[in-house]
Amino acid sequence: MTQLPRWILPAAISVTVPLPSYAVQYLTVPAAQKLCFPESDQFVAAHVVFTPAQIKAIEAASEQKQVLRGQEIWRAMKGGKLQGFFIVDYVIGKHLVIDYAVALAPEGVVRQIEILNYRESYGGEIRNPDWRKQFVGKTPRSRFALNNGIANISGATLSSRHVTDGVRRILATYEVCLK
Amino acid sequence: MKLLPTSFSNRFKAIACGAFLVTTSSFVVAQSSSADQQTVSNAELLKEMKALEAKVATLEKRLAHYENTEMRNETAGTKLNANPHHDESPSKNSVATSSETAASPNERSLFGLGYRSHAVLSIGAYGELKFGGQDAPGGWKNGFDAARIVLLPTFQVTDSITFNAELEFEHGGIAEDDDDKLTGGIDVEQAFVDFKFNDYFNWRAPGVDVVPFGFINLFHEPTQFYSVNRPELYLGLIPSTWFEGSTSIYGKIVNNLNYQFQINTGLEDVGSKEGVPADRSPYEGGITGTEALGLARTPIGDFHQTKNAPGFALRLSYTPPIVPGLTGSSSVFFTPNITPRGAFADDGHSLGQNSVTMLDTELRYRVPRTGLEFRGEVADVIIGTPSNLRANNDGDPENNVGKHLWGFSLEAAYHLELSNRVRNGWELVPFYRYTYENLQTGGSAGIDDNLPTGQGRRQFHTFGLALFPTPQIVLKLDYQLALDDAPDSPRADHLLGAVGFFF
Repeated sequence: MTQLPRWILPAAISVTVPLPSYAVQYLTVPAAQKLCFPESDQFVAAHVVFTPAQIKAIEAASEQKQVLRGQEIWRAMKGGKLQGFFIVDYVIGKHLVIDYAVALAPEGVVRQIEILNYRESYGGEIRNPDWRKQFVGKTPRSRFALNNGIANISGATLSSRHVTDGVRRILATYEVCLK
Repeated sequence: MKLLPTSFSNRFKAIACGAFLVTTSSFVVAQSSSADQQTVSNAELLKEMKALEAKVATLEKRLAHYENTEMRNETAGTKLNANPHHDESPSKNSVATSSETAASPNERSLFGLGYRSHAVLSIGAYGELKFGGQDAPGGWKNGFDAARIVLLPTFQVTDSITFNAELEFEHGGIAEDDDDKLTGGIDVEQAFVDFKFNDYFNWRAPGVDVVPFGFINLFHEPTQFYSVNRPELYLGLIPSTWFEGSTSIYGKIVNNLNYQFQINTGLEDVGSKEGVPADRSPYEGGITGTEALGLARTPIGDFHQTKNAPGFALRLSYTPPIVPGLTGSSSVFFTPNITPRGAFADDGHSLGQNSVTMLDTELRYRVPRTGLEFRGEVADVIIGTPSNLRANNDGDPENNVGKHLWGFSLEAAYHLELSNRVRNGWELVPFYRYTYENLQTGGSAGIDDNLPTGQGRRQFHTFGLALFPTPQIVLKLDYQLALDDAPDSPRADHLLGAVGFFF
């Protein structure tokens, strides 16, 4: 190997990589809503602002700190009938915010988890469908945590732990505010 | 997006303005009509004005009252649609369809946290503080080591561009004056900008980054392993923390299979930052039969690299879904040459090109629904031309290196939940790890006599406890029995404790 190409390669990668990068927003809210509730014909905003009492109740039930002052919630409707709830939530991964959505059946059972936006350099494996499937069927009465019903993702420990904790908090929010 | 669709405040502002206009205009009309009939006295005019002022004041009070009521309603948990469960018809005040919703994560979130996702400098940290005793010639030595305090600045430039860095203060840091007695260092172990394109292709711009090789070299925070020191394979055979000037691409190949491919400055066969001495005085090699690759890392500063050939590293990480709980990675590193410019043997002849290939596979298995965990790893370093290694040409017959340096480790751990015994969330992890290394296999060549003492064939039995009060904090205690095949090797056991953190 001559000396010149040895250093040309990194430079070539630098130049040929598509320069106009675009946001890695994996899903928009409307797209995730359609994915979680394909049968629904309408999503009705039903956002909730927490009372201090509700925050306490959510924290007690989920053993998580509630840092949001409210929750973005949509009712998924079909022909005027409630199909479930679509809830957008935010957790910190290692350093940065993860936007994700939890789809609940009307009785509070997890139908689906979707990662809307993942910004960290490491840990994007939480988008793996097999990992997210572990949450399906969880209810507000389910006892689960990372490594206890939800498998850890090595190398994405913090992200997987915080999303797991977040889902527990969402289920508690259902119990307190939506049930 | 407004939380309350048509607010009372707006309505009453409109009412107040309307009332003011109506009253004023009626007053003007009254004035003009009365002018036809009779002249109104100043006193009467003043009286009318005062009445008007009183009316405006009353309206202002009512407005303030309704604004206060609105705020109380908001903080009292007003559901923006009265009953999300039973009101099955869309409220005329709510956003009716998803396509009209304004709360996209790309925009400011309604309730705060999403807003923090941009233009925020986040600083994480991890560190290890160690104490205890180590067996050494002359007896056990007790002591303390502020091993590392690491700051992790991250800046989210946009959703697709992130800056990451890792700034490390080792062994207490450094000081100019000797009487400060600081013998550590400050390292920039990572500093790079990531451009995220999609699931499959992302680019890490040229910067300082850890080499994607093995697991602990990438994820070396103390909460990732249970022993006080890093696993032995990473203390030489893999020169952790192995970081280089580099650029890489990474992403997923298919679900459960990810890749990172890195081009970096490679390794070099010289153990000093000064490189090969210009005066041709003896120098230490980067790869030896006693230190393995511990001194072979390439410097990252001031164009001090001593050779032109880059290194190439590819790591595949996988989580096979057919075995729940199993995850692992396989890595390969190759550089066509590690021989620095001007390298020479003790007899004066120049040392020629020498390639290095490294292979590693590691598996981690957490048995589902139990606390049992197993880890295993094997690493192999293949020297292309041993006769061109400085260690085989430095006059020392005991540090020679053969065709391979290799090792493996097997570890078992049990995660014991202490929820019912101590506190919720506390976890105790007893563990045992066996490590074997052979840094002096056959195939050595060079001008040196080849008289290895057996020091390069090592075994480590490491066992202990790691207590996690929270996932961010770990308290460790372990004992290590260190053995090698050299008959006169000093004992190197240790009994160490550590406090580790990562947040």
